[in-house]
Amino acid sequence: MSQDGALRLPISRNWQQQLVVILVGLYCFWGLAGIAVADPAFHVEHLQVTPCGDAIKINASVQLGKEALLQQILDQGQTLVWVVEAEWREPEPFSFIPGVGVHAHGEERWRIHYYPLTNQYAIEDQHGALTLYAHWSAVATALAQVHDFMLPLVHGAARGQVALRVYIDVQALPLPLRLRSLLGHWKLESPWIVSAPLSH
Amino acid sequence: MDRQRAPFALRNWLRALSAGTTPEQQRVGPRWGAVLLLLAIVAFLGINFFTSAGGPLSHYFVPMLVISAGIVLFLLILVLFSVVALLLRLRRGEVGSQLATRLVVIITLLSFLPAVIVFGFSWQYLNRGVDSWFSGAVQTALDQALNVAKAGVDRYRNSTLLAAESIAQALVGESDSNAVITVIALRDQYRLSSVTLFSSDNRIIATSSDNLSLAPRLPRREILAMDESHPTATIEPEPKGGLLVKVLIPVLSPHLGESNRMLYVEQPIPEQLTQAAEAVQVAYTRYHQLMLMREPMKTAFQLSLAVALLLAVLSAVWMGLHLARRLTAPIARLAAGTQAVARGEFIPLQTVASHDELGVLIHSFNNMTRQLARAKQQAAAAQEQAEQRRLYLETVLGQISSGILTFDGENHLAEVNAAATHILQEDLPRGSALDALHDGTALEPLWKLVADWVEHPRNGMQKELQIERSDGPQTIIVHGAHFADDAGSRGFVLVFDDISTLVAAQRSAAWSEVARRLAHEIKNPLTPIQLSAERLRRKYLERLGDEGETLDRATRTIIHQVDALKVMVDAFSEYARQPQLELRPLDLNTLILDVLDLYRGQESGVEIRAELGAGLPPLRADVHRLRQILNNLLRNAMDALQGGVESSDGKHILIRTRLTDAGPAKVLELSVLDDGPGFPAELLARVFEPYVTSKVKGSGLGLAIVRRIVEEHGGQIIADNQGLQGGARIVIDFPLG
Repeated sequence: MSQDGALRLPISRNWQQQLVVILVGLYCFWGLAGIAVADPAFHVEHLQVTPCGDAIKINASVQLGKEALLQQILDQGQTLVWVVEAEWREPEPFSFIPGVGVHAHGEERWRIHYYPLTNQYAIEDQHGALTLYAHWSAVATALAQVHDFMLPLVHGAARGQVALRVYIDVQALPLPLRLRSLLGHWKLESPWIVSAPLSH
Repeated sequence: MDRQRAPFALRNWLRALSAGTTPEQQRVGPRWGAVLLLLAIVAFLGINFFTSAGGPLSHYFVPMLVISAGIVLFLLILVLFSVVALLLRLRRGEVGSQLATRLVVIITLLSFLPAVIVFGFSWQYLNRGVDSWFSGAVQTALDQALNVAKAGVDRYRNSTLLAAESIAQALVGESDSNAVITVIALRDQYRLSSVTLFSSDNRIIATSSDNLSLAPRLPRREILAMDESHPTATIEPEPKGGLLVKVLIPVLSPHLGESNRMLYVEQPIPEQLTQAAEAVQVAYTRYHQLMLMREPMKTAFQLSLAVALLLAVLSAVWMGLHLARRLTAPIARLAAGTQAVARGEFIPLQTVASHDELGVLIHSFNNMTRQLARAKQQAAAAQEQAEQRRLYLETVLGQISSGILTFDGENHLAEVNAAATHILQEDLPRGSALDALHDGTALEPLWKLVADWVEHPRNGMQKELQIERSDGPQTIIVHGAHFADDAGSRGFVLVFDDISTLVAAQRSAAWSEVARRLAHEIKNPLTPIQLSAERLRRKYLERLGDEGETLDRATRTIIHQVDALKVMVDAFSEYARQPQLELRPLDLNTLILDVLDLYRGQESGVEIRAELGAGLPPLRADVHRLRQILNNLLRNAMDALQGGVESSDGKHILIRTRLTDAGPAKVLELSVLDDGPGFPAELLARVFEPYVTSKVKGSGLGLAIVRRIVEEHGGQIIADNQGLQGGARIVIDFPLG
C-alpha cells in the first residue's frame, strides 16, 4: 500500500488594529486550538524511494497510532477513506510555501469497511477490488505498509525530494464527524516525511 | 503619514460603526452595521443549511463557520466599543447618556432573556431529541436481529461445511478418476453450487458446478494460503450482491507419504435470507453510525444555537445602542444648546431631518435661539448706543467750563463733572446724600441754598453767592433745574460757574473807568491851579514883604499839592491806560540786574539780594512794562521795610527767578520776597485791587498796575505772607512760548 501528504506552514501582524487582531487571533486560537495542539495519529517511517524510469517507486512503513479509535469508528459502521499522498519537490525560491516547488503529485485512496454480519473488515481499492480481513490486526498490518507506490514524474529538475504522508480523509466523513475532527478531537494524519535528495 | 492616517481612519470607522453615527458621515455607521448584520444572518442561515443538507456543499461548512464566527466577533467588538463609549459618556455626565444606558439595558434584557430562554429550551430539546433516537430496546433488538441474521447465515455456512466434510470423507482413498463421479454425485446430493477437488499441486482433479462455464471458480489466494490441515468456511459478499459460503477442506490421503488433496466448495446463501441479513446489517450499521455521531451532532447543534443566540443578542444590543444613540443625540444636542444659551451663545442647533416631536422641539428651540440672538444684538446695539451717548455726554461735561452736579430723586449725588470739582475745590463722592454735603465745609452756603430750593421746589433757581476761601472770596453763580429720570423719580441738576475772575475784571474795568475819568477831570484844572498859584506868588510875594509869609506858605502848599495830585493823576492815567505792548525777547535776569543797579547806591538800609536761575530761556515781553513791575514791587517792599520795625538782622529783599513746570507748559517764575511785616490779613485777598493799601502814602495803585501788566502778558500773580521770615511774597508766573 502506498501513501503521501502536504506541508503546513505558519503565517504572521496599533491600538485598535492590534486589539482587533488580538481578539480575532484569540478567537481563532480558541476555535482551532484543538487542531494546533493535537498530536498526529500516524508517522511514516523507513521511506525508500527507487527511481524507475519516469516514475519513482516508493516503499515505507507506517506507524499507526489511535488504532483503537480507528477500529471503534469502523466498528460503528463508519467507512473511512485511507489516503496515501506523495509529492516530488524540487528546490525553488519560496519552496517553504505549500505547493511551491511541487512538480509531481500522486495519491491513492482505499475505503475501509466493517461488516458486522460476518465480523469482517474490507479494504477496497480505487478499482473496486475488495480484500477481506477477519481481524483488525490484519487490517492494521495492511495499512502499515506502503508497498510499491508509483509516483510518475512528468518533468522536473535533475534533483529533488520525495515527500510522503498518509491520512484519513476528513472531508469524506459525515458533517458532525468532520466538525469533531475540526475541533481537534481527531487528527488522523501523519506529517510529511521527506526523502534525501535524489536525481532522476 | 499614511501610517498615522490609517489608525485614525480605522478609529473613525470603528467609531462610526460602534456609535452608529459620526458628525461627517451620519449614515455610514447604520449602513455598514446593517450590511454586517445581513451578512451575519446569511452566513448563519448558510451554516444551518449546509449542516442540515450534508451534501457536496458541506465542504463550505467550515469556512462558513469561521466567517460566521468572525462576524459574531466583529459584532462583539462593535458592541464592546459602543458600551465602553456609552460608559465613558455616562462617567462624563453627558446629557442623554443615562437615558441611552436605560434604553440599552432594557433592549438588551428584552432581547437577551427570550433568546436565552429559547436557547435553553432548544438546548434541552435537542439533547433530549438526539438522545431519544437511541434506546437500549432498539439496540437490543438490532443486536438480536443481527444475531438472528448471523445465525441464519452461519447455519448455511455450517451445513455447507458439513456437506463439504462428507464429500471429503467420501473422497478419501478414491482415485482421481473415480473422484470425478463422486464429486458430481455428491454435489447433486448435497445441492451445492460448486464443488472442486484440487491436487496438492493445485491441479484440478474434479469439478462440478451449477455454472455452465467450463472453468471453475478458483478459491482466492488468501484461502489457499491458509493452514491446509484444518477446514475453513468463510462467507464473502459477491460482486453482484448476495453472500457466498466458501469452504476449503483437506481430503486426507490414506497412503503414508502421499500429499493431501483439497476440496473447495461454494454455496450461495439464499437470496431471501441474504436480503434480510443485509437489511439487518444496514440498520445495525446506521444505528451505530448515529451513535458514533451522537455527541458530534449535539456539538454541531449547540454551535448553531450558540451562534444564533450570539447573533440575536449582539444584533439586538447593537441595534439598541444605535437606537439609543439616535434617540438621545437630539436630546444631547438640545441640552448642549440650552447650556450654550445659558452662556449667552445663541447658536441654532443642527436640524434633524425628522418631523417627530424631537424635530419640532429642535425647530422651536432654533426659533427661540434666533429670536434671543436678535434681541441680544438689539440690546447690545442699544447698550452700545447708550454707552456712546454716555461717553459723549461725559466728554462734553468734562470739556465744558461750567460745573455740573446731578442729584437723583432721593437727593443723592449722581454725577459730578471735572469743572465742578475744580470750581468747588472739593472732591464730591458720587452717591453722597445732599444733607451730608454741607456739614462744616466752605461750601455750606451752596448746600444750604440747594437744600432750601429742594425743600421749597420752584421751577428753577438762579443765584449768585460768595464762598469764602483762604485766598479770598469766590463768586459763583448757580442754576438749578428739576428733571425726571428714566425711573420716573424726580431729580435735579445744578449748573454753576466761577465768576470771580469776571467780577474782578468788571471791578477792574470799573476802576479803570473811574481812574480815567478822575485823571481826565482832575488833571485839566491842575495846571491852571498851579500856574495861578505861581502867578500869585510871583506878583504879590515881593510886594507884601514880611506880610507875604502866609501867601508864600499857601502858594507853596498849593503848588506842592498840585504836584502831588499830578503824580496821583499820572498814576490813574497809567492804570487806566489801554495796553500797547511791544513784545520782544528779553533776558529777565539781565533786566533784573539793570533795575537793581538803580537801588544799589541808595542808603535805605535794605539789602537786596538776587537768586537768579541759570540758563533761563528768553521771555517775550515789553521791557518797559517789566521794568515798571520790578520798580513797583521793589518800591512797595522798601516802603514796607522802611515803615516797619528795625530788626537786628537788618532788612532784606530777595528777588528770585527760576524755571518751573506748570502742567504741560514751562513757566518763568519771578518772586519778590521781603522780611517785612507782610500783608495785613484783611487786605490779603484784595491787595491787587485799586486803592487797597496799608501804606499811609501812596495811591494804592502800584500792585493793581502790576497785576494789570502781568495779565497783559498772559501771566498770573499771587500775593501771600510766605516771604522771608513771614514777610510778604509776590509770585509772578510768565508763560513761555
